[in-house]
Amino acid sequence: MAVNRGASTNDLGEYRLFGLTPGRYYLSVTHGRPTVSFARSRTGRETPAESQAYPTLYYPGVPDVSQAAPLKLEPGEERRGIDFRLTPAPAATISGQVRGAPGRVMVILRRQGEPLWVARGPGGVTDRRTGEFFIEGVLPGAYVLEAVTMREGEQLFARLPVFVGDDGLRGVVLELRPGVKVSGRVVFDGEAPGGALEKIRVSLLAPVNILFFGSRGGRVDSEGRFALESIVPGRHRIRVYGLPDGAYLKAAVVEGADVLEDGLEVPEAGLAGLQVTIGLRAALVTGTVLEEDGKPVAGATVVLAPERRRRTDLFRSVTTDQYGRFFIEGIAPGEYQIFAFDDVESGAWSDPDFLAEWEDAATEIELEEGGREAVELELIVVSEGQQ
Amino acid sequence: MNGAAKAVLAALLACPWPAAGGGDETASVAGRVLDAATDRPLAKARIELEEVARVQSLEDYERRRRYSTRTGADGRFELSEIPPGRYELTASRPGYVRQDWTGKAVWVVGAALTLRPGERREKVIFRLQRAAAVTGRVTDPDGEPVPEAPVTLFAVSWARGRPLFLPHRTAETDDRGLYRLFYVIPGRYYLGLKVGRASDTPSIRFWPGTLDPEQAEPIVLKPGDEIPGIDMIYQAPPAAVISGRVVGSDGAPVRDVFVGVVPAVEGPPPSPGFQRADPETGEFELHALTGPAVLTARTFHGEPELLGRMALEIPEGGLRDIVVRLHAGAVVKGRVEAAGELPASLRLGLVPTWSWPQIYRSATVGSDGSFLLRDIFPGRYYLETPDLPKRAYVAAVWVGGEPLGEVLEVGPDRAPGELRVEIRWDSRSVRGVVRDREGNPLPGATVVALPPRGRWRWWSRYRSGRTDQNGAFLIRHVPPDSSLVAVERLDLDAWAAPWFAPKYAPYAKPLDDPEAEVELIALPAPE
Repeated sequence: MAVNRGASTNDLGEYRLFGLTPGRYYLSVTHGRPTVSFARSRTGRETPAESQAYPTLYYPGVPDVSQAAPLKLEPGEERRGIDFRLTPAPAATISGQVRGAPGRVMVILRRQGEPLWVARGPGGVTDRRTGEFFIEGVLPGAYVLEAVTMREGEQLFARLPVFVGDDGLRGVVLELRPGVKVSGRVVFDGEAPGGALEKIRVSLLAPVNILFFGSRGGRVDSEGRFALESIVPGRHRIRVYGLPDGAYLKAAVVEGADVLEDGLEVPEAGLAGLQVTIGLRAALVTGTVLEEDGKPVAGATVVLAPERRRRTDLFRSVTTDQYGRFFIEGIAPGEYQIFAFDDVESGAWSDPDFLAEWEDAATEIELEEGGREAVELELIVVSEGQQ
Repeated sequence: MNGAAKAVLAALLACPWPAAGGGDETASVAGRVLDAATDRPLAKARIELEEVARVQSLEDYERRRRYSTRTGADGRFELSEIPPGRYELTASRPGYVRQDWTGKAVWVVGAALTLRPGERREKVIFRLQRAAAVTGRVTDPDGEPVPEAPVTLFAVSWARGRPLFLPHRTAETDDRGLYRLFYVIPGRYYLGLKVGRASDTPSIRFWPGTLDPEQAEPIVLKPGDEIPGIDMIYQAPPAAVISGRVVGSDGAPVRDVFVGVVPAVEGPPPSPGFQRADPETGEFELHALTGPAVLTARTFHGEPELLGRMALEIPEGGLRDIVVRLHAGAVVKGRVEAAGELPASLRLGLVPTWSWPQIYRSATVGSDGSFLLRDIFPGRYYLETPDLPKRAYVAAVWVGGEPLGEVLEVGPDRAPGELRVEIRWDSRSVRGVVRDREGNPLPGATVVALPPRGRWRWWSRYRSGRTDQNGAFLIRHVPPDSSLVAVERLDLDAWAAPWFAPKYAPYAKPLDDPEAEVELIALPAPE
C-alpha cells in the first residue's frame, strides 16, 4: 500500500483527484500536521483557540484507519461528493532534548499502532548546540518518539513511547545509543558447491516506519558465521542474497522459533544464534496463460502467492512471452496460489485485499522440494471491472 | 510565497535590532478584526506578532520571538506579556488578505511596530479585505482540455524604469482543463500560461493570448471578486530558424562564441539557452520566436570579453545570413569625491538600461576615490553605488567635465570621458502629514521623494514611505534637492515606473524649510 495521489483543496474546500487507475483506494484527509523543530515557534501566551489541530480522517469520515472503507473506482468513473467535515481538536506541545551526540539529530513523531503505510510521522531536527526539540500541534494520544543520527559511520538511535495528554509533554529526554548486534550462522540443507557460503550475504529489512540508516556487516565466512552491526531494535525481516542456483531461504530460527513469517524481533540487547538454513533443491513452475477460447495470452502478469501471505519474500511475479508461456524458478517448497492477470498495476497483488477478491479464479498448487510443475492458467480479466 | 523564500526575504529586509528584554515591563497589543466590507467582527482570524530581528541564519530565523492568537466571535484579540521590541504585526484569515497593522496588504514583509516597555497598545483595528479568485479553462486549438497546464498570475512592480513580473499565485489545470487561482490579493494582474518547452523559445502566453506582455490585458480584482472565464488556448508560439555568423570588429571569424536570442518584449525574465557557434567559421543556427527580437553573441572566457547585440524582426520564414559584429568593451575611469568623508569600502556599478543580457559591472573605489571599470560594452547605463551608506547620496556626476544626463552612454568606438561622482552627506529626515481632498488625514498613502528634473532616472535617489493610522509619515535620508509627492495608493514600487516622475513631478512640493512638517494633499493613484 502506498500513497498514490494527493491533492490540495482550493479556497472553497473542493478537491479533485484525477488520472487514477481504476481500482481500490483508501482516501484520507490531513490538515495542519504537527511540526518538529529545534526552536519553539511561539513562546508567548496563547489563547486556547490557538493550539488546535485537525485529526486525520479516512473515508467514510472515520478517525481510525482500521475503520476506513476502500473506494472502488471503475474505468471512466467520476465519483463525486466524497466530502469530509474536519473538526479541530485542542493540540499540545512536546518539548525535550536529545542527548548522547553533538550536532543536529533527526527526531520523528509517529502514532503508536498505526499501520506501516500511514505511520510515517512528521520529522525535524534538534538544536545544533543544545539538542532541544519542540513538536507543536500534537493531538493527545499515544505516540512513539524516535531520534536517529550517524556518527563516524555508526548509527545512533533513541526510541521512546510517550502518551501525550491535554497539557502536552515537557522535558522528554531521548538518550542516543548505538545500534545493536545480531549474529548467527548459515547452514546448507545438503551438499553445497565449494565456496558457496562466502558468497552469501544476510541482511535485515527494517519496517518502513523505523528510521534506519542501514546495518553494517552481514558477510558470511567459510564456517557460515555472520554478524550484523548497528541494528535498531524492533521487528525486522530477514533477506539473504548471493545464493547458489536453485537454492532458497528455507528457515530462519531463533531459540527454536521460526522468524520468517512474523519477522525477527531484535531485542534491546541484540541477539546471537540466528540460524539460517538454505535449501538447495528449490521448486520450479512453468506454464501457459490462455484466454477463455484457448488462445495464448502474451504479456499477462503471473503472480505466485504463498498460502502464508505474510511471507512477502515468497511472492513472485513474471510476464508471459508471445506464446503465453512463463517460467518461475528458485521457489521455496510449500502451498501457493497462481494468478494470471491481464492488466494489473505493478505491486497491486501485494495487497491481500486485492488477491482475496480474485482467489476463486486462482490455481492452487503444492510444490515439493525440487518439484517441477507445469500449469495451464485461465486469464483473469481485471481491466473490465468486476466479474 | 513559500516559507523558504519568505525566510530569505526576511533575512534581506530585516534591520538589526538589539534583542528585546532586560526590563521587566512587558507590552501588550489588543484590538479587533473586522470585515472591511461589512464592518462585522471576524472570528477565527489569526493575529501574528513576529520580531523584526537580525537574521543571518536559519536558526536566527527560527529563534525570532513570535506570538500569535486567534480572534473570538466578537473579533477581539489580545496579546499580552510581550517583551518590548520591534515587531511585525499582521492579521490573516482564510479567504481574506493578510494585512499589517497599518492596513496594507502584506506581500512580503509588513510595517514594523515598536513596542516600548510597559506599552499597552489598544484598539488596533484590522479591516480585512476579502481575497479574490480567477478561474478559467485551458484547451488545445481543437478545444480539448489541457491537463496540468501551469497558469500564473503576475503582478507588475517596477525597478529602474522597467517592469518586474512578480508571480503571485500559480495553479495547474485539472483533467477538465479547469484552473482556479484563489486567495489573490486584490489588485491588477496579468495571467500567463507557460507554453512549449524549447529552451530557445521563452514562451509565456498572456491572457487573452499574446506573447507580448505589453499586449496583455490586465485583470483587475477588487476584494471578494471572482472572475470566471479567463480561458486560454495552449498553443506553442510560432518559431522560425535564424542563421548567420559572428565576426569580430575587423570582420574576421571569432572562436568560442555563444549566441542567444530573446523576443524584444518587456516581460518576465527570459532564460534563453546560449548556443555555441561553429568554432571555426562562427556560423550559428537558432530557433527563435517570430517578431521583434534581440540577438546576442558573447565570448564568456576570452580576454578581453567580446559582445555583440543586434535588434531583429524575425519573419515567419526565419532569417539567414545575419552578421553579428562583436565589440570589446570600453574602460570607464573616474573618481568619487565627497563633501566630507569618503565612505569606506565603496563600489561603483553600471547597470544596463536594456533587459537582456543583464551584464552588471562594478568596481571597488580606492581610498583616493579612484575607480576603473572594464569591459563596458556599448549601450546606455545607470550609475549605481550599491554600498553607499543610506544617509549619503550621489549629488552630481560629470562626464568629461559635462554634467551627466539621465544615463551614461558608452559608444562602440570610444570610451566616455572621465567620470567625477560627487557624494554628499546632507540628507535629512522629512516628516509630515498627508490629507485627502476633504482635509482629513489619510492613512496608507504613499509618499515619494523625487529627484530633480533631469535626474528622474537616477533610481537610487528615490525615497518612499507610507502614512500611518494618523496620516503621518517619516522618510529618512532624503536628499535636500528632492521634492515630495503623496499618492493615495501606490501598489508595489510603482514610483520606479518610467511614467511616474513625469506624471507626478509637476505636483511635487520642494523641500524648503528643513525643520517644518510637510503637509501634502494626496493625488489620485495611477490608473
